[in-house]
Amino acid sequence: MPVTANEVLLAASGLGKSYAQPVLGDVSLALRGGEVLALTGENGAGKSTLSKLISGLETPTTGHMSFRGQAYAPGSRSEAERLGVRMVMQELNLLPTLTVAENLFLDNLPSRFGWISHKRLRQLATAAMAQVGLDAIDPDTPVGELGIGHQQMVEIARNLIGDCHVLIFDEPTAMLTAREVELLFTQIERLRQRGVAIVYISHRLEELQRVAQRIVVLRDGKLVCDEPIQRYSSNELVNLMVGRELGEHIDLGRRQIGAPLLKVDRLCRGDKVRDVSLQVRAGEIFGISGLIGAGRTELLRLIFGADRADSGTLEIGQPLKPVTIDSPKAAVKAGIALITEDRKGEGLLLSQSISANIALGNLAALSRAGVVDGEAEQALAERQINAMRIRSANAAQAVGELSGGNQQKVVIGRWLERDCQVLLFDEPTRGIDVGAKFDIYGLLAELARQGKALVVVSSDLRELMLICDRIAVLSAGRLIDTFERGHWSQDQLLAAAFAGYQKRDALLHDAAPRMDA
Amino acid sequence: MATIKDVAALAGISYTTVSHVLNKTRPVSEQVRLKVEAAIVELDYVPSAVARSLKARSTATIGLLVPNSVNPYFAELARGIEDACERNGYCVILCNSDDNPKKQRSYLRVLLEKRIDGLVVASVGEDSDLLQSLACVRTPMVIVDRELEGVDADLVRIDHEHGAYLATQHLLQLGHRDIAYIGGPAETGVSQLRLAGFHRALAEAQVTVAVEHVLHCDFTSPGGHVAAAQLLDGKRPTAIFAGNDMIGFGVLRAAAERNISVPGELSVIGFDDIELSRYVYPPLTTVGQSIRELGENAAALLLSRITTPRRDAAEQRIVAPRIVLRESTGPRPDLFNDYR
Amino acid sequence: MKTTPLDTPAGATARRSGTYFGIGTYLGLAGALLAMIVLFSLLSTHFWSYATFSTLANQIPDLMVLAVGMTFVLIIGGIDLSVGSVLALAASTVSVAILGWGWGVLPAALLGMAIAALAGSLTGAVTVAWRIPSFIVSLGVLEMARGLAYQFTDSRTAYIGDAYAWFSNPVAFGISPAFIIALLVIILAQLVLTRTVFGRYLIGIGTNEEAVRLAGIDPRPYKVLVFALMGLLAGLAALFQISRLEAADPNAGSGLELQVIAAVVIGGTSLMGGRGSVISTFFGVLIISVLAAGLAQIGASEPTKRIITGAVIVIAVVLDTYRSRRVSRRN
Repeated sequence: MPVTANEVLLAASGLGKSYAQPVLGDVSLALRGGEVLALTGENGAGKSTLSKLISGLETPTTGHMSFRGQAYAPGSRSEAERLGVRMVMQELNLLPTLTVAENLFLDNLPSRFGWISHKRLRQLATAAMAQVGLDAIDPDTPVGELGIGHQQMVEIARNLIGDCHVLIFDEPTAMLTAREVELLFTQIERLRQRGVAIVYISHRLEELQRVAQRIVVLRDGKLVCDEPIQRYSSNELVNLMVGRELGEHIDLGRRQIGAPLLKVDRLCRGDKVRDVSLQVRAGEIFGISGLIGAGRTELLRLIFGADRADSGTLEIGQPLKPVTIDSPKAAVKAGIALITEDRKGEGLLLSQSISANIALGNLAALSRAGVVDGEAEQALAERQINAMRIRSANAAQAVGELSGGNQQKVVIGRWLERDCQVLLFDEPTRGIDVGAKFDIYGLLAELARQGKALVVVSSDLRELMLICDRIAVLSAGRLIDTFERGHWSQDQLLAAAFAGYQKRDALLHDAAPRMDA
Repeated sequence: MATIKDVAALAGISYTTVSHVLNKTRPVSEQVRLKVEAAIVELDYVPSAVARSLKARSTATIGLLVPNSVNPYFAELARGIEDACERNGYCVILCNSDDNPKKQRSYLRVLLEKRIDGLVVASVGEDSDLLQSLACVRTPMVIVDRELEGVDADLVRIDHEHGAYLATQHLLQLGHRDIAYIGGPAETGVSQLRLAGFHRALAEAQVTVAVEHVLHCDFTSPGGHVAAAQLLDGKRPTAIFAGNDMIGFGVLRAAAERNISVPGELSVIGFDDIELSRYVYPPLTTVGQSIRELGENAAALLLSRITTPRRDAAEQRIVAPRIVLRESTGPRPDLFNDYR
Repeated sequence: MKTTPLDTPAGATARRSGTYFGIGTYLGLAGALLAMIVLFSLLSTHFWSYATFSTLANQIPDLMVLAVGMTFVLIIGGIDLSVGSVLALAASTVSVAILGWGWGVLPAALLGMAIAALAGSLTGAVTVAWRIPSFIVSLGVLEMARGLAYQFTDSRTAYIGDAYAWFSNPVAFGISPAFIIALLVIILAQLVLTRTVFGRYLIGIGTNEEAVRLAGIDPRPYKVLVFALMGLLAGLAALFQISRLEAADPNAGSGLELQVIAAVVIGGTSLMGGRGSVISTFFGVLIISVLAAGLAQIGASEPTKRIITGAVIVIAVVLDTYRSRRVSRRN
């Protein structure tokens, strides 16, 4: 069982996978114990497919693998897990209504004659959590009550109960705060020291450079790079992934920023949004940043009428006129669009075609006397597909089959047709590969050029600093400060993001003689 | 060694004026200053601190009495103390007592004779004579690591009992029931406190410990090595709580010699969190707080006593340690058998 | 500029989204139907006859229109267990109007349908306003409607005579107007489902109601409307039944809801919502009815009929999961 550092634990040779068409072709690589291998590439490049092949979720069409010298072809995920090859997926495999202990041992709860032995379960769970330093959490806590960072730790703990020689992380930091990311990295380091071979799949190049030793880049299903990571700078990596140069500074064109188009005055909803006032002008890209839970999504939803505000007013238009927005329907009528954070759950009808999705919300314009004009619908879909370079087979393809970036473009395409004056974007580029991100930035710029007012919520400060004219920072539900372009820095923005919580943290501090250094 | 008199003579200026230039106590003309500086350079003159201290009634020195500065724990402690002192313009006289009562008393006298401004004492011994001599000291003093009976001085220490409790609890959480303890010399206060914490955690979990599983040695690696050999050759426990990291290293070596994998077959936890514990294999899980910071705290406390003498009662600062989770502890070996 | 995507070459035939049913589904259903007809024809000499089929055609209009309404309800992700009782309620309302108040045939018919539509709206409104699962609400309405039906008819069958005989009198090829009307309803419903904005909204609501809401469409009125429509169609079915039995029976439709749901499910409309077809529901109705008629002709006892029908339903649902698994795997 003990593993010598840098022993090759899993080797893949000529691995390929085709569904109707080849998704992965001729990939060969080696996973070494005690090494973190970064796996990156654009969406659709084959990263998830590769990880599924390794973790037993799919079987390869060509090629073969070996694990610790023996042939390795797991027929199922549990077979792979039994051998010690595991994956922590982006959608955690935990059941929120069950407790931590139950989740950890779900596939083999300690029982006697069918009754669960709770005492033993607690014992096992405590041990499993103490292994990863999570002993502060009560094993009887329902997992749904933990923050995402801790949930992820529970998932890691679960994977460490059996043998774990290879552990794959698929986009682990997408939902984590900076502090939780640190926690994760500590765990990864410990795993590495234990001799586990780690595969770290992510788009976030700065993270990869921090945590990984080697990097593998996939492009269109082929392996284009397998090198120590220090050899490459972020720009070079992007180059490899995309096959073309992408500038760090994009020219968004000159825009005229006009009079205010949206005015929010003292909007409140419980303690999620506290007394927020702001103004967005025509032609402006207005960013909103802040920590997770600061109330950014909630604010957008209030403006859009998806939730009811407790108090506060809204004014829209040129000149500004007060409006009552109590439902998305009213918002749409007033000319506001919301591109939601969760495009799969709240934005798209996944099983339906691209054209149906784009048409939704525009059907009134595409129909006569209640009957839908199929040709008009098709024409609209094709127009948007071309305008936004949506990669798909054709307009009738189900939206669920598209990659994240293309799905997002479909959502945006739907709203573009409505010609709204105010567009609210919640995390528009989350889970989207670099190439598509820049496509969307271009789109945003174009919309702004047309004189619309854009509000963009994002957790990526660099992204906001790249595209916005102004950035407001929300913290604990309050709008702390608004920064102008040229007068901001990453530190200032971060400091503002934390400002709302400091008072709260100060109250939690123990005053007295004990020093907790 | 040149003196002020020599400088004065060479510069052709009076002694008092030279003193004013050096100490900047009275403005002098540019011409005079240049002459004095030239003479200083030529004679390679270094002002006498001793002479100055006589005048200022302060030596800007701190005495530090430790058992043995080769011991990594005291090395890091001394470093923390010295860094804090240096920042504040004090220098440190380091004395190794080897816990030898005679040496301790002798150093004490020497330090006091040198008119140190303050004293930091880290001592492990129980010598009553030393205690008496310390009790009589009037110079500001801070004791580190453990209380000394009868000595009324500021104290900075880790909560040994609580730390040991946490360490044992960690092992219990991992499912171990057969836990052994190798502590330092049984008579030392530190050792006794840690043993108490160990027992408290066990009592709470209603776990008993066999008599032969509680051993004592000196707080060194060879000592730990021997004690561990005894444990591992007899009825083997599943986890060993080493009274400090040095003992822990000895335990790790004993295990390696017997091909016992840590933490696979045996869990080991130490105490103190000295820097070395990161670099042994496997990295040693331990309990502690930054030792350097402990030293800095002690020094800061002492310096504040020195600069603003107060009549307040002696302060006791007890630092709560925390578990530093590394790689040497794991679940009880058979605990997850059904899941492998 | 169209960029060539990775997994599908440009110009590949569209894998249509799972919303609408492809030829494959219909062929499958037609095949099953055909197989059954062949089977029964072999087992019973009388089966393959003009009489069998015309009788069948005249017996199923109620089931047909009810199944249309239920298809829509299932598509939006709901379910309506009260249809049998609402049918009885409509029938008894008609009988009260004609016998008790002396109303004319047409006004009485309209009243019956209106009451039924009202019952449906009640189900819909309560479901939507308080966000309670329609399963439960319709269960309550089921009881209330049944109770009212008994109330109106004093728990007795009311003989209406041939006031509505027009519906059941065969016109051409032995087919009654009821069957033709039902067929028209089916065709109209399928067109509405596939071609109108209303139909799109329904499918959207069944797929992801929140996404529809956030796209700026208020789903609530549409949901209520669907239940109201269900009620209305139950009212129509009541008329068909009255015309056949020449009476309004307060016990009518007892257990009918399960038959209706079975027919819809056999046709392939998903219980989860977002996918459905009225045409395939029609096939489902045919399959269930042919099965019942065939079993009766070969002399199967009542219990046997039920067991076999039940088994067919289970098999249909199992087959349906294979189909939806294939659809989702493509996704």
